[in-house]
Amino acid sequence: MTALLEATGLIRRWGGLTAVDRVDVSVAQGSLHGLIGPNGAGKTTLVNMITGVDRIDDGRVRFQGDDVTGLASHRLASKGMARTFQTSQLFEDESVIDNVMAGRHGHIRYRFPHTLFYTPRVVREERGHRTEVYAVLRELDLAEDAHRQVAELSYGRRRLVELARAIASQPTLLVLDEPAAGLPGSDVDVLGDVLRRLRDSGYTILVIEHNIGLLMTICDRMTVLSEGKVIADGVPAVVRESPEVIEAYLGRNDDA
Amino acid sequence: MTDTLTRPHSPPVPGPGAERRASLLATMAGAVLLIVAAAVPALTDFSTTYLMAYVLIVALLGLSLHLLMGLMGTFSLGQAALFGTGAYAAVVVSEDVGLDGAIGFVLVAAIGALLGLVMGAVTLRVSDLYLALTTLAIGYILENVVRNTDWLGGSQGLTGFYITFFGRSLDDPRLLCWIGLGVLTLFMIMISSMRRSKIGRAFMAVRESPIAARSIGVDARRYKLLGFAMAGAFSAIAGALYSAWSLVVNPSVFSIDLTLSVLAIAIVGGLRSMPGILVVAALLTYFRNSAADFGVADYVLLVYGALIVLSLRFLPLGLGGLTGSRAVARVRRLVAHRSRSRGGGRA
Ligand SMILES: Nc1ncnc2c1ncn2[C@@H]1O[C@H](COP(=O)(O)OP(=O)(O)OP(=O)(O)O)[C@@H](O)[C@H]1O
Ligand SMILES: [Mg+2]
Repeated sequence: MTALLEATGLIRRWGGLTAVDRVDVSVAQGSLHGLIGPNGAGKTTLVNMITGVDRIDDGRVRFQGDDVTGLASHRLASKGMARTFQTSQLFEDESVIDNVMAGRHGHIRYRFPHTLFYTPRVVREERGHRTEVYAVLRELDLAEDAHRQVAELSYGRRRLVELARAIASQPTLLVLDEPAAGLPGSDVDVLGDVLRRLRDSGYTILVIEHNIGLLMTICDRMTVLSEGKVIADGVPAVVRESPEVIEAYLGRNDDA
Repeated sequence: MTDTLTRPHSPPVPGPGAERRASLLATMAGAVLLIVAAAVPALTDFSTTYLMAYVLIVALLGLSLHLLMGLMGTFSLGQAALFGTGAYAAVVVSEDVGLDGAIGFVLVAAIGALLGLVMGAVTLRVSDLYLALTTLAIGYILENVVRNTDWLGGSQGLTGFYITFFGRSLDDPRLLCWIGLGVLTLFMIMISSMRRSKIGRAFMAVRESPIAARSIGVDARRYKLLGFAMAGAFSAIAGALYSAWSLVVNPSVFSIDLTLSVLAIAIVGGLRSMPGILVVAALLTYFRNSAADFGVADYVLLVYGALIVLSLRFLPLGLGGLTGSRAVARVRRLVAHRSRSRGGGRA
């Protein structure tokens, strides 16, 4: 398998703290890759650097064979990276369908002048994208809430809307920052199934998670971060046996 | 523990069919209103028509704020700068370039769009309060430049010009009203079409979460520039109509007074609601016009200020926010939230 995403020697410093310290991550095409580690390990910072949200102090990122180090996040998005955020970043006052339609942005071909008079071309294209979006909503069991305002939905379903928005952009790489955080146990399993299904239908996914149990069961590969450094990397069965991982996880009382 | 990922049983919401019916209804109501409004100048006296023309001009400015603040979420105080530029540009285009308004106004709109672009570019890197102050400062700079430019009449301003539209002089307020109505309708169609397209969703994304906007490939800066350019064009057209209406253009067209009244109209009317803005533009213009009769002429701006504060406190979406299912849902949510926090539970 070839690497879709390859980050090497990434460094990010916050004042005196090196939040991400010479991290290498390689995400294989078509894999479900877990990124795990205790609170403050640097997972979000790492993913923010990869997706162009945060600055890169040192290191390289290659995506689909191109050097994309330091590209702005909207450029990376149009190259096929989509993501969700640890604290959800939805358009709260808007309907589910509008939120998810926004994810289609990069695929819509009509241009600004067409929109001023809603030309037939706009009507036609919008209809097509709407159909695609409904397919995504159905996949995530959100279709019946399509016209509901996001803010009216439960926390768990809002997380699904954010996932739907990312999927709607048909990304080459889907990056998820703790999609299961704050979900009750039964929902975590549902989410696990969703992720596995996405992987099986061809998506490459990099998912951050606190919940080591969830990742162990669904991931093809995982990277473990602790205090900014990679302490283990490999298939779950191997990572599980790593003394560093056992220490990092037994060393603290993780409630997640 | 409840299963939050699976859909709870809840009342159905209006689907796309209902939405389409509602928008058809709104379009028809709008068409009827437009016909009625167009009949007004033909049926009433000069002073009513004259006032109506002014309402239309102010409403156009209100639309530019609807776009900038309501849809794009950018708090701008640059309306007077764009409006004033449009007012002067219209006179120069008519008198010095010698163009008829039918072509001249397009040129004025382009000039306004250009200034809007500059304003957007200057404020790209700043946000919120600094952005507002920068746009305000641009108005002050322009006012002082004009004040010191003899060619533009200095502090006396320009008079004795006349602006035509297809050869007919715009000093006829009826003609002005009809043109104002036409332009207003055109802009409303443009804004509502745009709002339902990817451009509208990009504005929504930039407003609600710039970081999420970028994550779905929306170049937030590009859309900010686009919004400013459009607002610039709309405001400049309002300025052009104003110069035809007032027959005098002096540096006071750049005043903060104007910016604040439009701000009041847009906020009280509802930043996201075009009908709300139109209604409040009419009401506040009427109030201002007859303030002397009520004996409150000195307190007009005070009243505007109070209305802004009260509206922001009690009706963040303005009067226009009182209608529509989304607003109702929002109130329901607010109530639910209140009772939840009163119960001591944490969200
Ligand atoms: N904007 C910031 N300014 C200063 N320090 C920061 C900033 N963002 C993160 N940090 C620090 O960097 C370290 C890594 O944070 P990060 O959010 O990446 O961890 P994480 O692994 O995602 O943790 P969590 O599981 O809690 O989400 C932490 O010590 C954090 O305090
Ligand atoms: Mg994190």
